[in-house]
Amino acid sequence: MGIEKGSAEKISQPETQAAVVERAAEAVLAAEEEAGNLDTEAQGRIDRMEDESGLPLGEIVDARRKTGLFDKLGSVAFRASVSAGVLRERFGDFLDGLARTEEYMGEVAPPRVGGMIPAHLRERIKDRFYPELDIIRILNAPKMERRERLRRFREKLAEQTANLARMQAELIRMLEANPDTPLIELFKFVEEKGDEHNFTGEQKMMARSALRLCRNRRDGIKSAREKYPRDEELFEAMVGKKPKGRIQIVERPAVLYIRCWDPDDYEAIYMRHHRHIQFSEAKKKALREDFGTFLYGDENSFLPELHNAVAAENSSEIEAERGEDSEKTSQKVMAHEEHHAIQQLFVKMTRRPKLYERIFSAEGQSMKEVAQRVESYLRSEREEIADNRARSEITAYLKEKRLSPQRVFEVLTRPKNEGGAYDWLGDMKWFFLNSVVAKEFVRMFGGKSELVLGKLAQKVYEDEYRALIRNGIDVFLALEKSGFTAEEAAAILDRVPLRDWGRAAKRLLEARPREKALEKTAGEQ
Amino acid sequence: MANNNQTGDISKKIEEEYREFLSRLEALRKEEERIIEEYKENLKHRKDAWLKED
Repeated sequence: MGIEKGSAEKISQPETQAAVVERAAEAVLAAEEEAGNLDTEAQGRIDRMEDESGLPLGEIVDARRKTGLFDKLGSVAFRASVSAGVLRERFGDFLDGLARTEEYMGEVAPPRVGGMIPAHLRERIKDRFYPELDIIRILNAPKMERRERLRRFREKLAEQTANLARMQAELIRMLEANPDTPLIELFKFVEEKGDEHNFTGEQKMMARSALRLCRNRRDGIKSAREKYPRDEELFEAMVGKKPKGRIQIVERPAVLYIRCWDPDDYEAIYMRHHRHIQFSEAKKKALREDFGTFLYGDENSFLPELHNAVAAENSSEIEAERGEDSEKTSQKVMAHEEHHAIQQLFVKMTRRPKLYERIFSAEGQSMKEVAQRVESYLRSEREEIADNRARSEITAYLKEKRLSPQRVFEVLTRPKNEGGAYDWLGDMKWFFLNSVVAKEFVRMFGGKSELVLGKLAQKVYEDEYRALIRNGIDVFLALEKSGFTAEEAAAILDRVPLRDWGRAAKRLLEARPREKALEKTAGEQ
Repeated sequence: MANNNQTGDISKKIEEEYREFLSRLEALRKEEERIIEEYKENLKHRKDAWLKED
C-alpha cells in the first residue's frame, strides 16, 4: 500500500515535537535536581569538616555564627532554587506557545504536550502542584471557570500544606528521638517525602533551610549547657544577674525552657531580652500574670548562641492559678512555647504561595495598588537575600578599619560587571523581571507596565539598598562617636536587622545612662 | 501544526535558556565553594588556637 503525500510529515512531525518536549521536561527536572543537589552536597561536606575538626561544639557553633555560614548557604540555595523556577516558567511559555500553534493550525490532532513527555519523567511530574504557578494560571482563565478552578486549587493547596505539616511533624519526631541526627540524613528524608508528595524544589529548599536553623539552635543550646552545666550559672550568663528564687532549666530539642518560681526572675529574663524597650507599669503588671513566653527576635541575650532558642515560664503564677493541675499546665505551656519556636522555623514553606495569591487575587484593583504589593514582596525578597549579608560585611569592614567608610560603601555597592564581589542583587533583578509575578503584572496592565516593574526593581534593589548601606555605615560611625568601641558597635548591630539600625541606635543612645548604671550594678554584684 | 522551523526555534531557545541556567548555577557553585573554604579556614585557625591552649 502506498503512502499518501503528507503522511510521512504527519508521522515524523510529532516525533520532532516530542523530542523538543522531552528535552524541555528533562531540563526542567534536571535543573530542580541540580539546584537541590548543590545545597545537599554542601551540607555533606560541612558535616564531614565539622566531624573531622575534632573541635568542641561551642567552637563550631561560634565559627558558624562568625562566618555567617548558614545564612550564606541559605542565600545560595535560595537563588539556585529561584533560578530553576525561572527556567521552568520560560519552558512553560515555549511549550504553551507550541500547543497553541498546533490548535490554531488544526490540521492533525496533535499529541497533547503532557502526553508527549516520556513515561519515566511523566511519572515524576504528573501530580506536581506548583501553587505559585497555578494561581497565576487560574487568574488567566476565563471568568466562568475561575470559581471552580480556584476551589480545586484551594483543595490542592490544603492537601499540600497538610503534607508539608505531616513531614514537619515527622521531622520533629525524628529530632526528638535523636536531636543529633546528622543533617544530611534529615535532608535525605526531605527528598524522599518530596518525591512521595510532589513538593516543589523551593519547598524542599525551605525545609532544608529550616532544618539548618533547627540544628544551629540545638547546637547552641548544647554548647551553652556545656559551658554552664548548673542552672543558676546558665541563668546568670543569660540574664546578667543571679536568680532570686528557684529555677529549673529544661533542655528541649528546639528550645531551652526556663521555669522561674520567682516572678522577678521571669520578669528579668523578659526585660533582658527586650532591654531596649521602655515598658509601662501596666505591661509589667500584665507580665506577672503570664504563664510563659517564647523570646523571639533581636539577639539580646548575653549568649548569642541562644538566639531564638529560649522560652521562659512564670511557674509561681501557674501554681497560683492551677493548683494541683499546675504540673500538667506547665507541660502544656512548654509544648506551646516550643511549638512557637519550631513553627517560626518552618513558616516560610507555605508563605510564598499565599503571598502570590494575595498580590493578584483581588478583583478590580488599580496598577498602583498591585504595584505597592509587588514592592513589599520585592523588599521581603531583598531582606532575605542581601540585607543580612550586607549587615555582616559592614560591621566586619568597619571593625577592621582597613578601608575608609566611603571606600567600604563603594566596595559593597559595586556592580558585579564592574568586578563587585558583593552584588547579590544584580541576579535578583534579572530573576524578578523574569518571574511569574512580573509576567502576571504585565498581563494585567499591558506592555507599558514593564517600565513600572523596572522602576520598582531599581527602587528596591538599587536605590533603597544603597541608602540602607549608606545609612548603616553612618549609624556605625555615630555609635563610635558616642563612645562605643568598634567591637562594641559591631556586637550591637550584628544582632539587629539592617533596616532597624537607625531605630536601635537611637533607642540605645537614649537609654545609655540607664545601661551604664545597670552594668555598674551588675559589676558590683 | 507547528513546522520544523518553529520546533527548531523552540529547541534552540530551550538550549540557550538551559545553558544560561547552568552558567548561573556554576557561579553559585563557585560562591558556595568560597563560603565553604572560608568556613574551613576559620575551623583550622580555631583548631590551631585550641591545640596551643592545650
